[in-house]
Amino acid sequence: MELLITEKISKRFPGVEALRDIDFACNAGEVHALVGENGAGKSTLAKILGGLITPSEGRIIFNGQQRIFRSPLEAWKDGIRVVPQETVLVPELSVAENLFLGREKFINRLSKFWMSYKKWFRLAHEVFQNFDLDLDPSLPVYSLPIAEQKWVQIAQAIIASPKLLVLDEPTASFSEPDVEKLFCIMRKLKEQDVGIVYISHRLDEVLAVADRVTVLKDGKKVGTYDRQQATPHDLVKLMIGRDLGDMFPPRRSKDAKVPALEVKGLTIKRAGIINTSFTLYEGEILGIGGLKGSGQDILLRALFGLMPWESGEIKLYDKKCKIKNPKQAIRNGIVLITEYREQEGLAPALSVRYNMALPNLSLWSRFGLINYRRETQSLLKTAKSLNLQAQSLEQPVWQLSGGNKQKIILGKWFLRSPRIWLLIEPTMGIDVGTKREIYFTLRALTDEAKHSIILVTTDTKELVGLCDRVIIMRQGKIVAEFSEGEITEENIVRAALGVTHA
Amino acid sequence: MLSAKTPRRRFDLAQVGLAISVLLTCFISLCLIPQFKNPENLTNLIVRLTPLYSVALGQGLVMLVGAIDLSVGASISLVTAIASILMSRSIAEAIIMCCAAIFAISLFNGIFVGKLNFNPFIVTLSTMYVIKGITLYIRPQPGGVIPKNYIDLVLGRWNNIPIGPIFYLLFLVAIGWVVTYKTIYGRKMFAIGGEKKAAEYMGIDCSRYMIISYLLSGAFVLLTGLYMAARIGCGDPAVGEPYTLDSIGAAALGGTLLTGGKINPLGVLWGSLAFTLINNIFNLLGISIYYQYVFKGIIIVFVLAIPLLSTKMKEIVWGK
Repeated sequence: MELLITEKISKRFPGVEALRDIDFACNAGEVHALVGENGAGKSTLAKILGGLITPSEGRIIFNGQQRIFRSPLEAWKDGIRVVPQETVLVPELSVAENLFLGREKFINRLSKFWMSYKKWFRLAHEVFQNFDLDLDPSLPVYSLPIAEQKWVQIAQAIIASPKLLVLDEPTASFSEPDVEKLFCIMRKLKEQDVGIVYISHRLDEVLAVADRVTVLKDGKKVGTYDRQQATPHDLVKLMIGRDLGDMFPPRRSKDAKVPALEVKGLTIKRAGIINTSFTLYEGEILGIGGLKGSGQDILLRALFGLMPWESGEIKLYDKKCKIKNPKQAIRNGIVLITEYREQEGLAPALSVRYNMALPNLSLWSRFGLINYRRETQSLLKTAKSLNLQAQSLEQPVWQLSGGNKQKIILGKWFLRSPRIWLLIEPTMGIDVGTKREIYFTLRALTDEAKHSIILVTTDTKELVGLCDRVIIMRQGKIVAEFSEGEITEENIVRAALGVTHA
Repeated sequence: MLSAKTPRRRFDLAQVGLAISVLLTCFISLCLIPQFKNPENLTNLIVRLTPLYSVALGQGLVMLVGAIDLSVGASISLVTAIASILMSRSIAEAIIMCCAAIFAISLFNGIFVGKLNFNPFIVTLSTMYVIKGITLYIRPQPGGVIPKNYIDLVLGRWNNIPIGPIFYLLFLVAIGWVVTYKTIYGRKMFAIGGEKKAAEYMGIDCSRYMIISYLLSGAFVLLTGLYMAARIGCGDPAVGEPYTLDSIGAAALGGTLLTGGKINPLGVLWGSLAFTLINNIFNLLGISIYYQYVFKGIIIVFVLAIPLLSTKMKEIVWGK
């Protein structure tokens, strides 16, 4: 039975056509995936289904009735729940309060006036148990890692028992077991005849869970395919309209190994990192894998001077150095790029120029006065080398796609030519084409400029495809190291989960 | 793809709207109110515009890093009070004392807000009360003596043109422009106001720059206080009071964001001019001061709503 049909949906923003004539359908009990590059219009379609924006033209037929949703509330009432890509929770409130937000009446049926935290926490706990999740309902949401915040959002949508569930990029921050759990839940929902629209960049996941796949490109529909018909390679081709070639750049054999960064006996008890040692060689990409929250990102933050450590030492090119704050780290040629692009990487309201120029102002200034012309020249050069897609240097950064934001963050450090790059999930939520550009850029940095990179990622393909050497962390400790020949998906997953060779 | 040409700056609709309404108001007043174009009245306008712009610019620089300074008005009163007591003995001594007092206040505000991460509203509210108390203690009623030669120097007139205030105004416009748009310091303040954490991760010492912001604002407050002492010719414990909220209003009207990361020094000038004009025209027409407040409130909301109204208009034209 067709649960949802959209007919010739179009959406125009001033000057841009985000969607054009989209015919889309989702059956009850079906997982229908939407794929496409960033800016292809997937999220716009999701928002239209959820009533967050109204289409310029076209009809939506839901449950056999023609509907136009003018607000999220109208969509909710009809039984459509959208889990948007970005986190929309109240950070200061507890997990339980967020989970039942807007549903207090339902929860408080017994006691109409007083709210009982105890009861809420108990109910929330039951909900999470159903989903096989280990979350403390009393914690404030801001204290949770992104992946767990995502779970709260997903649970929030599912307990409303929707007829249609729209998941926009739910797994961007997930590690493998989380993804498995989500798929398990989705299969259960399918049995209950819930229709699911699933948006993702990860094509292997899409093919693992979806019944049908619809490909969007530049706001238009390319086609809808059965799962059996499609391979990841075909889908990529359809999404970008051309053959990408290899996703990852070729590795080049290294000559003599010069240690660039040596970490010895680093201990941060609070974060569970005890006596960790490793070496990063010049011109290599060292991958750090492991389940989310195994201490990888804390390790990098500590190296950037954001977390004081109790003992241990750091040597940069055989010279001992102390790093107590980001300023010292940057002076020593260490830079950090994190997955929180909009809070820790950019000032979203400011222009491309202001963001990219910031760490480099001294390069084109005299007596504290900025030479505007020289600044423009260098920034345009950098933007060009990165293939940055923006209207002008004065465009505010928030208007750009995730991939272009990441290019700006990379670009702002280019001119300083740092010796060591610390990257946490650099391609999270970025479309395939831009991902590939970033991989090639990183490889060029290590091969041509002799920079060294530490890459923390939960995307196993990245570890296998891009890294020269991989170490795996588990519960704050380094449990395995693989050099070039040994980096395989199997080895990595085994080590991350702590499964010994069978 | 980015073009190699430097694109023209996009107009800020609210600013254009504000500038047009200010110019229109001036034009209408010139035509309809005979006293408006009196040289005496135009002088008066400049003499009143200068201190407001001075404070509003300082306030704007504090707002740029995402903070606020509620102690500016009280500080101005304090400066006039100190000047009225010490100037009869030695002008230099009085100025040095005023400098010391304002430096201490700004440093206190800056350290508590920038370094210790207290809420700027609360910190400066507290300093405001303390300063007000001290001022009332040393000068309970308006009075004291400001030497004639000092007044002549500050308000210096030539053929009835107030060259002192005009020069100060031009100096302010230039310094505001250079600091915000041309210096590394300005860029860093934009970044701190835009996203403090990101600025910190780029190696910017946020606390230092927030302290500097307060010190800069303090410098403008000091100059305003010394100017006001000359203008009213005595010390007055209440003379600065209106400037606290007027400076925030004028800065906001000029497109400065209270949340930080945005300022336009010329916009602040338009904002200050709008406020000064409202006072002036209402006085000329003999309308009660109460209506001035009502009108100030309305104009702020209206000007800040212009961009919103224009998007609504666009939506009607383009379809939602």
